[in-house]
Amino acid sequence: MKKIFPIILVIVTGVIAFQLSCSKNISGRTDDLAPLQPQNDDINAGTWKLVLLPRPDTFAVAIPAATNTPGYIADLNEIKAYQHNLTGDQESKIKYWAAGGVLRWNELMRELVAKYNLPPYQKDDGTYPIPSSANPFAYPQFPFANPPYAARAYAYISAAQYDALVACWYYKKLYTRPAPYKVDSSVLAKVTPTDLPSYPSEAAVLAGVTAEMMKLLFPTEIGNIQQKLE
Amino acid sequence: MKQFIKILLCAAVALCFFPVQKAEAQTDIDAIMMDKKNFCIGPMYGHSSWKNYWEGTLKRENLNLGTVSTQMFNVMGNYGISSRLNVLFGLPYVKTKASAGTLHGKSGLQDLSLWIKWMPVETSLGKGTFSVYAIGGLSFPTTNYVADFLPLSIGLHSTNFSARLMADYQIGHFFVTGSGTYTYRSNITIDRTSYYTTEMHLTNKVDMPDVASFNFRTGYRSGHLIAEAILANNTTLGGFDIRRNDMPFPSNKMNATDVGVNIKYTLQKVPGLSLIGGGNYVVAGRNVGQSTGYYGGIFYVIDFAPKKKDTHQQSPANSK
Repeated sequence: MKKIFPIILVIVTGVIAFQLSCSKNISGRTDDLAPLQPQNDDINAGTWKLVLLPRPDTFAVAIPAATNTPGYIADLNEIKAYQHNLTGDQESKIKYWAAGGVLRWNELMRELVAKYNLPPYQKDDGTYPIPSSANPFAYPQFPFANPPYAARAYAYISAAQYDALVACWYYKKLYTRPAPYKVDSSVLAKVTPTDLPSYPSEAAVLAGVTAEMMKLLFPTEIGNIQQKLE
Repeated sequence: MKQFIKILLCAAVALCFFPVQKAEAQTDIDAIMMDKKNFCIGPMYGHSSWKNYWEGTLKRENLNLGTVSTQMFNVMGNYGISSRLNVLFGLPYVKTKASAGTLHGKSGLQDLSLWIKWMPVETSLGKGTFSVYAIGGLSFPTTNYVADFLPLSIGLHSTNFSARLMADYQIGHFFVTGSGTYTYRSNITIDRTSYYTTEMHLTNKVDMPDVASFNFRTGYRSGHLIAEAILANNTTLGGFDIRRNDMPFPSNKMNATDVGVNIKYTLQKVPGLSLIGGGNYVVAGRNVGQSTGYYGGIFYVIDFAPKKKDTHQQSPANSK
């Protein structure tokens, strides 16, 4: 008996040490991606062929205020004030989105598709209810994001993103507004700096078009999508 | 669903989720010790099946599964290092089947379980005998079976560490045993690069929540006959509910409360040979099948001690 105690002790200690040493934390493969490093600004992308829009200036974008106006300088100061007071959470959000807006919005789409890829439960009479876009919150929730629906959803969103970005680049080249960190060196570049004109913001354009499309495709998720947008 | 229960059971003998595995005598969950240098070994067969399961808290049937059944062929053994310290093992072969639908059943060798069972306290208390047991367990998959195919996968494929504290009190032939177990489960790797639980996971690793379980058994125990009633509960500490009409997933919150009976009879004419049998039924659950199970087995005690002793499994009460 006495000889056994040390053996038990060793085993118990080993088990505890093992548990402490192997953390159960799991991270996704894109959780810690480095910021996107564009190889090319594609400054002439505003001339690329469009899919849905007839012309890149179908949607008018107002001329930005000159960089020497008081309004613009006030905006720069506002940015600097925000940058001084960034929380860790905000910094990690910036890092998250710096990996690439197209990638992150695609991940969010995949999440919605996975969440809604559930067949409806049959009714008592053995027939199957059909999700209704007119009443998306009733069971079965709209949509049933089965592969055909998902494929169309990805296609619509990708085409809309592409056209929106072509239009964005069209106005970028038209207005050639330098980025705030080019105008005022005390503004920090929080993502990879480029020579790309900053107006209109490609991230804002992408977020706007993607979120609006998502709300159409997944109407019950408007609340969550709006949250991501903000 | 039940299958996963079964699976779970299988996965952790300690967990004993599986009705089949949980109830035999002389296991990690009862207050019986082998004598020094005695080795008890034998095969067991168990069958369990369910038609209804709990999808989250909603009880339902599934016409695409029909009745899901699990068979288990198990070899178990128990060796007495001393009368106060035993080591045990179990290795089941599991076979699953769904009576309807398109999902094929799976079969294969499941998880090897190893236990060390120690009785630090055995003392007279009132008119009876009181004993305390500390039990540590390890189980790990022996084959590369698929875990992410519930309810037809044969196990959950996690490596488990269990710690159990058990107390037993016997007066005459009447006894009560109660135990509590905490089971740590390792992460598992599944054959998908992403999956959805309550959110998207872009990884093939799955965090398996730990499990707490309680087991209470009482009845008649003498040298040749044990007849007991069992109440058991398993609670997953975390995990998530199956969504409406979704498939189950290994890290679901699988809870179950079940009742059962277990009988062990030691033949008087053939020393060392005993028969066991029993059954159980899940009375309440969450993300598991409402299974009914039964099992039976034959065990034989080989005495390696130089001097032949008469007993094989002795209860704490009559071992002193």
